[in-house]
Amino acid sequence: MIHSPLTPSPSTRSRLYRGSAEIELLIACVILLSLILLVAGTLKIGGARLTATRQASFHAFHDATEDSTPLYTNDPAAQPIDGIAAIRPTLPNRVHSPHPTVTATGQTGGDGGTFTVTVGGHAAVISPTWAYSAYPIGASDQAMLQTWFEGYLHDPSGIDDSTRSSLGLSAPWEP
Amino acid sequence: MTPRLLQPLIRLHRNTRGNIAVLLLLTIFCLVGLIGLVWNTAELATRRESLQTAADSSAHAAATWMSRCTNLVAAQNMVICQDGSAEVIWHAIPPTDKSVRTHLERELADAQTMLSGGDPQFASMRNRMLDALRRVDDEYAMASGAWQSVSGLSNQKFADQLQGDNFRKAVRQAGELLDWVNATYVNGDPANSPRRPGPPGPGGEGLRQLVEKWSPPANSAPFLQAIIASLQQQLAVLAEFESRTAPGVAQDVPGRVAAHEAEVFATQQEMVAQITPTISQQFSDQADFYKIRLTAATTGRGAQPNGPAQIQAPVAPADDPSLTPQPHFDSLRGATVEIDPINVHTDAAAIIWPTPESRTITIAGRPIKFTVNCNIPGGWGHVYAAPIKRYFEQRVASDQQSLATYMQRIDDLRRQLAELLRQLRGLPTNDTITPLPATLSDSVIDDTGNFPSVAAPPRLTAPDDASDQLRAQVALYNQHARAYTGTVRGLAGLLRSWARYYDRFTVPFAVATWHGHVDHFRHVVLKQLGTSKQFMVLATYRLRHIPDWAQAGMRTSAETAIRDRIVSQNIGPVGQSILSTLIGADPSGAGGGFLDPTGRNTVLAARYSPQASQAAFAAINAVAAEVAPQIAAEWVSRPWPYEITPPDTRVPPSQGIGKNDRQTYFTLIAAARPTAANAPRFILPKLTQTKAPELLAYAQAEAFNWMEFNAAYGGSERFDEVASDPNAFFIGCPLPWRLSTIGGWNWNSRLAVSDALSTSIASNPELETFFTEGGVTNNDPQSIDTLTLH
Repeated sequence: MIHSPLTPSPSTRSRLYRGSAEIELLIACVILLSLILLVAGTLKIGGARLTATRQASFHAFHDATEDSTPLYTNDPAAQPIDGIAAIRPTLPNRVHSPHPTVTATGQTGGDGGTFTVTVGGHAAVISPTWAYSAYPIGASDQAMLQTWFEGYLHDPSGIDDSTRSSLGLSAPWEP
Repeated sequence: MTPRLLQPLIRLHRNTRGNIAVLLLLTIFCLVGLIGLVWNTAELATRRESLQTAADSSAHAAATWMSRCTNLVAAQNMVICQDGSAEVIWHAIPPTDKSVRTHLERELADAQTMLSGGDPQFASMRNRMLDALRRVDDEYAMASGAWQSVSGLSNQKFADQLQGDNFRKAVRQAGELLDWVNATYVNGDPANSPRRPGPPGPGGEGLRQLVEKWSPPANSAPFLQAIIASLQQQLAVLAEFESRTAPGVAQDVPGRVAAHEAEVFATQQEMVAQITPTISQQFSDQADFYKIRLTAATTGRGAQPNGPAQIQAPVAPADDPSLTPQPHFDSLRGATVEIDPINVHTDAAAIIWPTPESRTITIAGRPIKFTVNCNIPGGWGHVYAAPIKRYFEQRVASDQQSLATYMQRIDDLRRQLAELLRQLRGLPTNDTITPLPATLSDSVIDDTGNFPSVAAPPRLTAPDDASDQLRAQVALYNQHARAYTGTVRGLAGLLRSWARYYDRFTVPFAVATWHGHVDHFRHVVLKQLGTSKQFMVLATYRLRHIPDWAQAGMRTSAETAIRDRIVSQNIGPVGQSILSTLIGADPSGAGGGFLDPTGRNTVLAARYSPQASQAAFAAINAVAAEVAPQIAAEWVSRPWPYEITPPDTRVPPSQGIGKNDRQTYFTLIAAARPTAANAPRFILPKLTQTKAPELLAYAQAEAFNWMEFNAAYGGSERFDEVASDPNAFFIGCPLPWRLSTIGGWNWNSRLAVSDALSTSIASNPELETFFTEGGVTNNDPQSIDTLTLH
């Protein structure tokens, strides 16, 4: 059998294939590295989503039950309902609806570049409870409660201010 | 030789080309799968977290609405109490005005009459004092003369030497004491023995000096003018009071209050009725916001066979059918009574000791009869409008203060007048004149080594063999000595009456009059509120029996309180009755037929007061010891108006709302399931063989009161002691406060450990469905409780 460059002999063919495995390995490394970076990115995004959801919950409950300053958004998706407050209005009524965001940063590989993904969470907690102490907000909520309570003085059937003064009654507030 | 057919397999075996590619493909496959697993895990955790947030915030929102409704109802109960208090003040004004005006005008008329027509008693006061002083001197001269005669004759020998010695001793003592009365009590000299008191005047004066210093002027006009001026000022203050109160009194306050209370009560009912749809709407909004399915559940109250539970506020109207009167066999009456849960132990159901307790005791051989009052007005432990009484009382106490200042001004003017009149008469601020003592200490030690007490002065008894002359002189001495001390006491009394001469114009009375009327109408209006029942009570409020563990403590506490009250309310009248009888009978003969009537009463009152008080206490205590245990037994056997269920077992001294009440009336469960829009979205589910599980989240929330463990409110509730208030009123259970006081107006919401979950699943089919869909197919309460409460 005559061997030519197109039909190399087995020994020549063997020499020609030398190094192809290294090329495949290089390609494989690139692909695998990309995939690993993708796994890492997914992990970071997943963590960020969990953090955002949890932060939303914590912020909402914190704002509603602990914070001394009313914190709430005018989230059209979380508007306070009137309910029984509509029977005698002017009471404070809030929905604490924070939308925290968390940014996850991942490696794109190769040139050392990065990508960022921002994810968000949301929650909605209502407050206050219209307790006399108005905890935790205090003065501002209590002022609204006082206005509401004193509104009874202005009921047509109620005892008006002049009669109260005439009878020497104590101020209705503090009750 | 290799078979021809095996050649390709042998070549494949020898061929190493593409091995890396195969490995690469397998690795890529694994890594892509890993991406899917990581993403899906994070997706599931995020959705689960989000669902839990939805359940938490929804349960919290429902509890917030429950708290809101409860707070508003508490505030409205306080509005009703404020209305009631206004009615009390309105009622109390006219009778107070009339009473004070009548009093002042009568005094003014008297003063004017005295000014224009003269005051004969005043005009004669100076002469009466001087006459009395002259009589004192005259009687002393005669008593002293008689004593000297007796003393001169007492040196003779008597057959009975001991009798003779005792007679001479008595004569000596009589002389010394006559001397003390004259020199010290009348003339203001230092006492003739350090064991005897000094002069009786507030500045160390004797009666003679007091007559000189305090001697009334001839003209009473300046005093009467001052009195008239003060009374006119007092009437002017009263006119201010009338002017201020006239517009209010002219209003139909009771009519307006009744209408307003009805309106407020109607608003309360509307709010309570609207709370269920409000919470339903809140749930609907929450479900839309989180894009989930929500359900609400309770342990039974408001649970529905289909759909979510109808969450209610933990309140009920006072006229709720569940609060019907309870029959009870009254051991004191021997009959069955109906006990109203709102007006407890009142009217026909009052705890009344049925018979008057008349007793007779014998003191010094003389029977003394008296009656012990074993009841208090309205009956033991009675309470009208029990759920709102506490705040109502506070409000009345606060509301009556402003108008009380007018009465205070009137009383202050009277005090100022008293001071002015004292200054005009030259009287010191302290015008106390020490009474002539009934006995004085002897100056000589007796056989026992003590200084004996001797009647001042002693009555002498002549020895058996005394001569007629001595007997006559002793009789003369006794007569004049008695007359002498009588005139001395009369003079002291005259000086005292001069110091008190204008007291009728100066004693304060207006504040007491105001308080008396306010107190009367406080009872009247509270009874009206209790009868109309137009207010709300906590849903847990009802009549309940004292728990077994607390009965012994309550019985002891009630018995002590009842006994103390019987003693305190009877000790005055019974003591006085015994004292009067003792003085009237004078069984020991002290001063009998010897002292003048005034002196005798003073001496005997001083002598018998301790004995009378002691006897009265012993006698009343004996009756109370007999009666109080029986009243306490009836007390403990009766149901009382508990605002919350009392604990079944002993608690350290107090405890807030118990588990059953909390779970039944103040707790709810919210459960959430994802919708299609909110379900976990997995990537490469086939590759990763991942199937999204059925997610379920639940949360328990409750309404609770901030003040539950505040010592001024729930933290002070004792179940084994009577509860009392500043008006000395006491009942057999903690006084309700959670729906009418400032402390009660402090309901809040909170998430709680899910200890009501298993009961709620059993009571709410929709919640059970949620759990079934979520993979919990068997509601085993024990397992769920273990899981949630471990």
